[in-house]
Amino acid sequence: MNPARLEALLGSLNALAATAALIDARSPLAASAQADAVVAWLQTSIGDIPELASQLSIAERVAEGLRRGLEPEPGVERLNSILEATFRCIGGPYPLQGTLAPMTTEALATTKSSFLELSPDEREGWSDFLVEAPELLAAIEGQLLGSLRHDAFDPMAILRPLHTLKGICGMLGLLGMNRLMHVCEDLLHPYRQAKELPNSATEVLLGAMDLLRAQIDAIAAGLDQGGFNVIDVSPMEQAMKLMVAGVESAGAGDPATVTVPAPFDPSADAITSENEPQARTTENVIRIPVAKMDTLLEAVSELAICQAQVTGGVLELNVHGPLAAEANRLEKISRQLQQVVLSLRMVPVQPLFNRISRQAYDLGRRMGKPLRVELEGGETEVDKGLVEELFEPLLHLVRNALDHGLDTPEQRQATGKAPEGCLKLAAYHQGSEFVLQMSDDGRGFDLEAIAAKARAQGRLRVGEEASADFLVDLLFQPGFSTAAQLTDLSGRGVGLDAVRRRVADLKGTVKAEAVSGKGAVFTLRLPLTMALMEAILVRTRGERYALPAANVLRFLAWDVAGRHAVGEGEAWYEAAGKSLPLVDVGAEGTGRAVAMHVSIGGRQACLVVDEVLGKQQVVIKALGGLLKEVPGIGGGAVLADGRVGLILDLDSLLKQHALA
Amino acid sequence: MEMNIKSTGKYLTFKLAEEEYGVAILKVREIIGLMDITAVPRAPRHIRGVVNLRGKIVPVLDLRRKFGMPDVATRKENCIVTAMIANDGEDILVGLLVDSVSEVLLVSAEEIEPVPALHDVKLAFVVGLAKTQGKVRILLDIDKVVREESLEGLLELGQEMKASAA
Repeated sequence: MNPARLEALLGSLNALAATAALIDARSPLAASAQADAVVAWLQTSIGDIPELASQLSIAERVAEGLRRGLEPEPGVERLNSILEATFRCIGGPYPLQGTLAPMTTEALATTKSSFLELSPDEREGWSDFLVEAPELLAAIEGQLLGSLRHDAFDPMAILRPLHTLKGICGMLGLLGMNRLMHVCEDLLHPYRQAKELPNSATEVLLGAMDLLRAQIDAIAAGLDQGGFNVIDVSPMEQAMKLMVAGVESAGAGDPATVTVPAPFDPSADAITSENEPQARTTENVIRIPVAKMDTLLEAVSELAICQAQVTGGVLELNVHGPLAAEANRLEKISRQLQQVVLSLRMVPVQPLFNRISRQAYDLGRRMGKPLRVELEGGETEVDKGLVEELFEPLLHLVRNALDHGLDTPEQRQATGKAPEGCLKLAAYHQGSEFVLQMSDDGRGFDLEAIAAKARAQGRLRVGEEASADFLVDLLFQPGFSTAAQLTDLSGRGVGLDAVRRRVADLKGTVKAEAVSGKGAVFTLRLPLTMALMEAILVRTRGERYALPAANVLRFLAWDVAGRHAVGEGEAWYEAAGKSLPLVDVGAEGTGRAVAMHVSIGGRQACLVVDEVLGKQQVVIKALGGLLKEVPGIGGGAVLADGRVGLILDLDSLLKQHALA
Repeated sequence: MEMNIKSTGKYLTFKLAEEEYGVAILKVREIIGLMDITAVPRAPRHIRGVVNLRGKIVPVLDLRRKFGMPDVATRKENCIVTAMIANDGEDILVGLLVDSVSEVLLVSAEEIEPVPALHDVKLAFVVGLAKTQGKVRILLDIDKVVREESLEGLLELGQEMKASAA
């Protein structure tokens, strides 16, 4: 082999070896992508060297295994040994001796991590960091994921937040992370004018972002303890440096640049200047702690109550002229104020979408079911608290889709579908509800299998036919799973019922529909805001209670003759040809008594109250420390006369059949 | 003498049946007249319900019931004393329903006597007895009063004090 080719080979090999060392340091999907890169390189660069042919075929098998999500660690070791053998054969020294043990993110986080103690006056800086860094991280990840989806790629939208992060880390003395961000910039540098980022680079950058996230979590956990572990990023940094060198040598075709990564400083200045318009827009943003927002909302709703009393008083006086007009104006202003304050709590759903698609992408690769994630309506705004609470149920749905809905590429091709599965997340507003849909193009629900399972579990009598709605609803019942085989992801029969419970806690509903063979759609409907509830106000037990209007299907005339019970046991109500279990909320059942047909989480019941007082928007408040878990009660609301009305928690009420 | 340093200070005193009690003024936020209390079903008996305190929902604890005293008809002197209670690492605002509020009393360490040893009942929620101006007040550790399930022994303490005074 001529010396020039050998030289070039060694340079590229250095970069590859670094990549291989990193393989398991990140997500398995990154491992697989890197293995593919190694194989591709081996094929083009050394495919003609007969001594290495056997290594190449081993590498191909390992890469194939990794792609299917099989045993990443042995795979990594073997790839490393292949590279080592290649180095030996070409005659160069293997550059990363001793650092090649497979590493997981956890291992990276624990090896050589040092503890940083904080003095009280440093705390504020770190608190600011905890506010800013996750947002910047989310912005970067959003862009990287967009690039994986082949959406429009804007390198500056990654470089800007990266640069800011680098600055903050440096300022706070988080030097390792500062250097890592710098290497990330270096890695992106060649693609500043590019329309697309190669997947290998995206994977590595996502890996670096994982380390940053781990560091942010460590800081968040340790801030109150007076210190935190600083994650050692040097293995990642070293490997990325070599990768940068590899990318540059490939671009320049000059082996001399391999060992000396180009300094980044000139372009750093360029970023600052290009950063300016962005910086100006962020200056107009004020960060407000949620606690302060809640106080504001409280004060404003108190104002609305006071205003209602004043306006009511003026109307009673039956005066005309300026006072009545001003009272009307006061009402308008107060309502407007309340709307503005509520809108302050609203945030776009896009960051949630990004987090979910990142997870979906990772999980899909790990399970050998690569998928494409489509997002729609990311700008839809919803209560901030709701966005945080929705992550877990959505993740459950993604796992469920991967386990039961989406097939492997081979299976998909056999049914005439594109090899890559598609998962779609869509969000929109409908009336006073926030609707979130997750659909996949998998195999849908096997209604036959569900019916068989239902019969086996005694939920359906043999020979009895059930509607599709009934069968699909069974999937949300505790202990019901049709998965033939349990995976570590889901299928233990706790997936979908957990989703329904979580969504019910958020005063929402979840429904599924499917077309056999074509895919499934899960629809989550939630109130726009968790702070405000459209409520039906009722009287029972001599007190006023509020319950979510969304859960009331209809009002029925109460006729004691319709009540049936087995002795003192469970009672039910017969009305309009339906038998509904009765929930006792302590009504006397005389005079203006009304039976309410309610539904929550797929269960229906009948609630008898002494009087229905009307419909009203109420601000939901917690009852506070001493009364955290009162069964049947989901909080309180200040009513128009200033007194507290309790909010009925239908979910727990239907479980215990009685309020007291 | 750490105990004394802790307990010296101002106390808000209030009446409950025949006795006068004191809570450290630092714990007290405000004193409000009796207002409409919304009963909470299934809540413990000593929690009378919740009230709206300027938009915040605050639970009201009936100290008579908490100490196992009989209920009496409400009178216009009845008061709700709101206090910040340390509970599981968080501070919660709790309303304490008392018969009537008396005064704010400066108690020095020398004026505080330990609770007389009494059978084997532990009165962990009593800081001590303040004996000033010829009166005896029972100083309460209000955090413990609110947190503890059982407050047995307080009634006996009252009787014992009467017996020793006679």
